[in-house]
Amino acid sequence: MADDDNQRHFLSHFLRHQDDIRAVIASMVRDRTACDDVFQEVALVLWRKFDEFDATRSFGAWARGIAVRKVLQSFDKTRRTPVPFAPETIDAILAAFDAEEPDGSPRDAALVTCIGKLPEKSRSLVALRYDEGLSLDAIARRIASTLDAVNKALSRIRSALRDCIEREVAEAGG
Amino acid sequence: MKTREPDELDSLIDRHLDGLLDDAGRARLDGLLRASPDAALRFARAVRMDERLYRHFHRRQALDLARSRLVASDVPRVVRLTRPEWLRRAREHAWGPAAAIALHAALLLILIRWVVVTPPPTTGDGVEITLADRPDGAPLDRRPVLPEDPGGLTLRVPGPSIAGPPPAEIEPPGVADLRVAFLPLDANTAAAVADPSRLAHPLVAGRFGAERARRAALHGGPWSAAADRTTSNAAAWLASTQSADGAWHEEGSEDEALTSLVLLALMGRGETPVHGAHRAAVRSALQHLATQRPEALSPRTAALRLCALADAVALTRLPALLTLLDGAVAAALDAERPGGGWAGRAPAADPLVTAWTVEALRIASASGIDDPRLAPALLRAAGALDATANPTSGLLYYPAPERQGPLAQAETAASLLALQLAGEASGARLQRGLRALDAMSPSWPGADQPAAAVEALYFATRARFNEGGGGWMKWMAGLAPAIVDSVRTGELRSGAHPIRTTALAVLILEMPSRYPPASRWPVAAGIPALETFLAMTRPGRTPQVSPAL
Repeated sequence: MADDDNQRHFLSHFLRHQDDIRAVIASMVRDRTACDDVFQEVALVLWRKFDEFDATRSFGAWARGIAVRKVLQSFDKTRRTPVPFAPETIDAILAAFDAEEPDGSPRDAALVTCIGKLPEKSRSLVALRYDEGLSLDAIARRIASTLDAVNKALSRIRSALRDCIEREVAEAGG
Repeated sequence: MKTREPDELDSLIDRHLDGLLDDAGRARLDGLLRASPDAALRFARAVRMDERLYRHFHRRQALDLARSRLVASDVPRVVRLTRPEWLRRAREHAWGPAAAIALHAALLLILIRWVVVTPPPTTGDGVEITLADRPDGAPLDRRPVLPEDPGGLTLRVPGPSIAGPPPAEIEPPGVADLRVAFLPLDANTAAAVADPSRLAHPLVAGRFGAERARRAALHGGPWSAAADRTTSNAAAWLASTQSADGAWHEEGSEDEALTSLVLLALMGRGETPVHGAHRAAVRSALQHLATQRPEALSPRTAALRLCALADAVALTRLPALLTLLDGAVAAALDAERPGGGWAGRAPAADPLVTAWTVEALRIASASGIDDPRLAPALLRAAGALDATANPTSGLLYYPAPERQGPLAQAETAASLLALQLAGEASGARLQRGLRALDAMSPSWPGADQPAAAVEALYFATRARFNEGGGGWMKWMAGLAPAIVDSVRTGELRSGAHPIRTTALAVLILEMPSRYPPASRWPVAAGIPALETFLAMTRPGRTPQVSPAL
């Protein structure tokens, strides 16, 4: 029964923070497969170490700290690419994640609305990048454009989506 | 959509996310993030949104896959039986000229034998009259002749069956049978399922689409259309009165009790934390309830909160809510009175608190809460309420002399509902209780009536609905138009407790679609996906944690 309670507590924390844990990993590991591998390792470590988790602290901060350690270990192991950020920068990124605990649901719902508001061309571009997982180079070839043009277009779309999401969340909240 | 021009930091972050950053750019980004917490915050937000975009598309893929599997599983399979080789050859040869002549001759002979030689038909189960001249000239015996040779080649007309039970009522498959086969791990996955009925437990699937219409046709009446419009308007008004903290406040009501009641009313119309026009209100109300500890609430408030959480879990199967419900159920079971039931002064349990708790526990049990104390607690609650029935009148379930009027009616009706839901009372006991409700008039109380009068109507309506038949139809034919009128004229909101009264009115009008009658409530069922997930993340196994499902 105690074990079941433990599992349920873990699950409730983990489900709430899993997207944020993945985001922290993805901020440094840009390869999707590698990111998934690290995420699975992190999930396992979190469950194994859950008994050590101090319930008075934030689960998200604890989990993200472990996630970053796992990311650094994976860079050590492969040695193919350098860690993209200096240790102080990683601390700053972690602090930024800690500063805003995840409130995924409203933003996720807003994203759906905002994607719906995008012009058809922009929506196709986003789908090529995130649905098909194409690199910008491949997208440029697919739509007969240049890498720079695709990069700029995607930047503008992300910026528009960010603004739109904030507006939607503010309207829903207020 | 308005677009803000990206600045240098945006550009660097985007290039990093797209894998286009060279060493110089990486060093520049690193410096900016280290120097400014605001830049780090923007970076974190950008990464979160990047992940959100990835998840958005890939969850849709996973859902499409799940849907296609569901659709595939619904298509009946065509099974082709292979004919034996000898039969195939025989059939081919039979179409030769000689075989055709032989076949026709044989058919002719069979026909002649059938017409000339076949004895008069006899019957097996049926009744047959034989008409024949008797050689001795005796009067014709017209009594039925029972068959001597039931194996003869005669046509049999089955007689009417008077033995055995009537055929069981079999409900056609509804939307609930096409439910999403997985447990949504978060609200986003749940929200991506276009049809909310696919997430809902069959117990609450009647609140959506075709199933809602079917139940309205089955249990509704001429008042149904007006009731639907009224509840829609009332739900919008209730949502508009929500406070910023997610709760509803009204003088004379505990906030959490009122919030739970309004939540039940909104969710009764198919509003969930992820679907419906008022999903934001439902979500923030649930978030508000999540912050409350059941031990710190009054018994009635804790029971209503438990009911709201159980209803939300049945609608969405979200694990986060399931965890909350688990805790609330454990607290309720801890708070059970020694003699059974909940709250109240010795020797009796409080019928209202017990009714809300029994209802919540039944829903929780059906939604997968598997506490071994739950079923015995339901039995004890039924026993405790049954024991308090008035031995003289056999009518009121709460015989305290000071409790008369609307409160006594509310307690009688609540006790009846709890007994119906617990499924343990005798039919005679329930019938006596229902006759006690005959003293109640199916009319809407005026604005100056106490809140207990409306609560009595709610519980009485639930009990009538479970009873079904003419009693239910007659009750609602009087009550529903009265409520609709009260809403239309604004009388409903002119009383001392407009929010509570409106919520209860909505709950009454939603009755046909909210739950099936108590006799059709399903037995508890587990949620295997949750256990599977936990098993996957157990130490010693490689977890296959997918962001999609």
